[in-house]
Amino acid sequence: MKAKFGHYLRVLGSLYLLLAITTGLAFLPLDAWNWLPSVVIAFVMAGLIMLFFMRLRQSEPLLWLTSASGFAWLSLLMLFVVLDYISRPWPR
Amino acid sequence: MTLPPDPKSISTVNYLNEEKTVASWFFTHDHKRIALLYLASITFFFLLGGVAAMLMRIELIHPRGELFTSTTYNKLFTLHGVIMVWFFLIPSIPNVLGNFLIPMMIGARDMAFPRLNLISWYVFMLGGLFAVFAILVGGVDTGWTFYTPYSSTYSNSWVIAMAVGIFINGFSSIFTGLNFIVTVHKLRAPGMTWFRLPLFVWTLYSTSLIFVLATPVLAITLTLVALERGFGIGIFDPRIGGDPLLFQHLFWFYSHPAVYIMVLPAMGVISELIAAFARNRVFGYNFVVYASLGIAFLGFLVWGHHMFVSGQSVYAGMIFSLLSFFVAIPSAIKVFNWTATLYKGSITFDTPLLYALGFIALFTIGGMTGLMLASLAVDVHVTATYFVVAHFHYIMVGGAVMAYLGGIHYWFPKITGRMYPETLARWAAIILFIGFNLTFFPMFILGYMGMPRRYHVYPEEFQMLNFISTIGTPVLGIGYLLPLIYLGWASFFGRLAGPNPWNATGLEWQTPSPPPKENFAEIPVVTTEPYAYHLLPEAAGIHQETHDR
Amino acid sequence: MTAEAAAEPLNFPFKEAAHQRESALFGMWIFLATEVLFFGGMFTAYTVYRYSHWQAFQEAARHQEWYLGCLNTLVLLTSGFTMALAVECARRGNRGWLLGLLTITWVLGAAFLGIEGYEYHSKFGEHLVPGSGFHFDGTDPGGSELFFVLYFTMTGMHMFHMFVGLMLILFFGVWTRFSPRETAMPNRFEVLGLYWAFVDIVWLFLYPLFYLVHPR
Repeated sequence: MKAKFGHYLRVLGSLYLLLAITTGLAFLPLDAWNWLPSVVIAFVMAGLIMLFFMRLRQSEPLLWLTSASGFAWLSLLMLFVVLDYISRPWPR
Repeated sequence: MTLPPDPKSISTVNYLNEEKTVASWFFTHDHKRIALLYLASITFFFLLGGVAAMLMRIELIHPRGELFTSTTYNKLFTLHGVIMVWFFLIPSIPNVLGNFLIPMMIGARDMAFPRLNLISWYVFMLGGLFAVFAILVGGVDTGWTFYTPYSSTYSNSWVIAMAVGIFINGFSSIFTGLNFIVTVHKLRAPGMTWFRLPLFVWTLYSTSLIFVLATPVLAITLTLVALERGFGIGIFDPRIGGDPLLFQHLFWFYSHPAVYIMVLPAMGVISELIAAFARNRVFGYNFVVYASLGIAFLGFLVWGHHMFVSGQSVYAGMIFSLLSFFVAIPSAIKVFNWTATLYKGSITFDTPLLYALGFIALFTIGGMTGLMLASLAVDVHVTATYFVVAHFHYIMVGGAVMAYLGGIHYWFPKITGRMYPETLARWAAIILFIGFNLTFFPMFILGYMGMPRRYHVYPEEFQMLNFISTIGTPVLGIGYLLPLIYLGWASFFGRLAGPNPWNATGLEWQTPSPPPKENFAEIPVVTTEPYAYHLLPEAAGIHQETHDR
Repeated sequence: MTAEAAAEPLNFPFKEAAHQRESALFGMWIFLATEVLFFGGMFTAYTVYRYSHWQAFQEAARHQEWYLGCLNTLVLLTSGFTMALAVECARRGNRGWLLGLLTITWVLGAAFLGIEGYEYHSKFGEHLVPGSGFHFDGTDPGGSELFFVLYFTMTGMHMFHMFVGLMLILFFGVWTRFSPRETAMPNRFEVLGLYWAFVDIVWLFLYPLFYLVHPR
């Protein structure tokens, strides 16, 4: 149990660190692009939680596939919707 | 071809008569009983939606439409659309035939989560209650598509109650899909490999992926509409810079794949029927499997073809148009493979095959006109006309409902243990086919001539075709009512069927009819492909001959 | 099934504990995939509106207290950690530790809702709640209103999920405390742990999108 505790604690520590980084980066003057680093870090943090807190690392490949499918389909939705908006000749 | 049933093989204790109290039905965890609960509920909803359709057709006999006001007419077509889409077509084949057959076809005793299965029925009924409430207290006039800003701001009808009903109904779909996926993955009998699964199971698996991945988007979209309507926080409101087109994107991300929820299981039923009545292996089994998965996947990438004239970017329109054409490829693979399965088969024209042939004809017409609609330029001309109405009724009624009835006839002996009257059933299938074409074919012409959908008044030159269409409706109605009557009669008084009246392959036919509560006394071990008609004794003679030579 | 794991009663139609456990986990992961798409609809709306009104979003986001969001993230991450440990204890049949860790998780979750409630309350005072009472001085008040529409619906939907999670923890915790069984039923806590971690993940995206757009 002790080993497990240390293991989860290290994950928590990394998450705290990433939280500090993403909050700090938000103060950089990136203007319209400031979402980019913070969203990338959010994905990293989500990955850590899924791998360790949700124990995906010890799970069968089927669960890896299932966990990815939600994000994959969401990216299809976003891709095609964004495609429409960025290719409109009129404002918006 | 039917063998006289062996009295010993008819199970005396089965899932129907094991327990007889009302509570034993309403608290059952048996997938077969839950399937029958669904059967009763969706038949009720089908009649409700059907009555609305009849009333609309009667109204359309006359160009000036003097029977109903325009508001009442709007409420009628909304009622018809909402009830038929969410409360009949989507649950029809998956929740009745799928629930009954998936565990039996894969050699399991039940679904992976029997209690969740029952919960999904209660959730379905709760959603239905909200929908019926919305209808009874005044109805909804937005059309089943709930386009904003009309639905969120201007419509003076019971949009929120209806949206809540559909939201709840969505969770029933999600639970069903989840249960199917886990069951197919985890409960297959020994030897039942993925490529030995019956094609019906494959199509339901593909359908479940859509249930699970598309339905939540509908749920959130309708929630946003209800929030906008109820609290005045305008997420799609153009007055504060919101975009009604975003609603259409989110709505069709669900509602286009939903078309495949309706037609994919139908395709699976047809594959079973064709193989059983042509007594042949399904031609190109692997291709049909990949075509099912391909349709499920591509179906997610084409929703923008509902928005060609909405103000969506032209480039997005072009891409959606191209992808819509791609869906034709796996669909055509299926049609060709069914035809090839029939080729050189020993065909018997029993009722289920009549429905299957009707399906192929009508689905082909629906599919080809779908290609016309997928072309940007043609679609601009026929958007929101009766051409679209005719197209999707050929797919959903001509396709999905024909397959549903064909499947109900084919598995009726398994469900009830009794046979339906064959001659009457054949006539009903033929009447249905004629009535359907009489009702819906004129709509193609009407639409191409420019008659818009959702209007109850129209120029006089359209009257003849509208009249023909309305004449078709009672014929179609008789085609639906006949099976309801004789199947109801036959479930109590029909001739005993025996375990396998069609002499078909498939694990479900190896159980007694009706099956016992946990389906299999002993979990079967599968050693052959699903459609091993060439290995049956009837084919063995031929084999022997060739071998001797 | 590993030797460390606590016993779980078998439900029909399962005949082996390991089979039942992997099916339960698979079912939950599928449900979480549907949840991704449920929230995904709102994230798509956010993407579209931030693209078309990005300046209005920046102006609106100046009214957000980034440190409260940061504090909430800290609280939620910690609760995810205690929940993961609780699941570990349930698997080992350690009922005492399980109940203790569940209590900590519950308190952290409730603290999160408290902080969020405080924020909602202060938004009312600043007239930043969408609807007829909304008032905003900026170049594109409509766009800024959209920001707050999304803020309230998305965090509201997240809070609803938190609330459901808290109820489940309470229910399963009390059930375990008073059940005559020696050990906990590990599967339900494993499934609950997945749900709780998912709710954490949603917040990890809400935090940068609503608090870090333009912190001051």
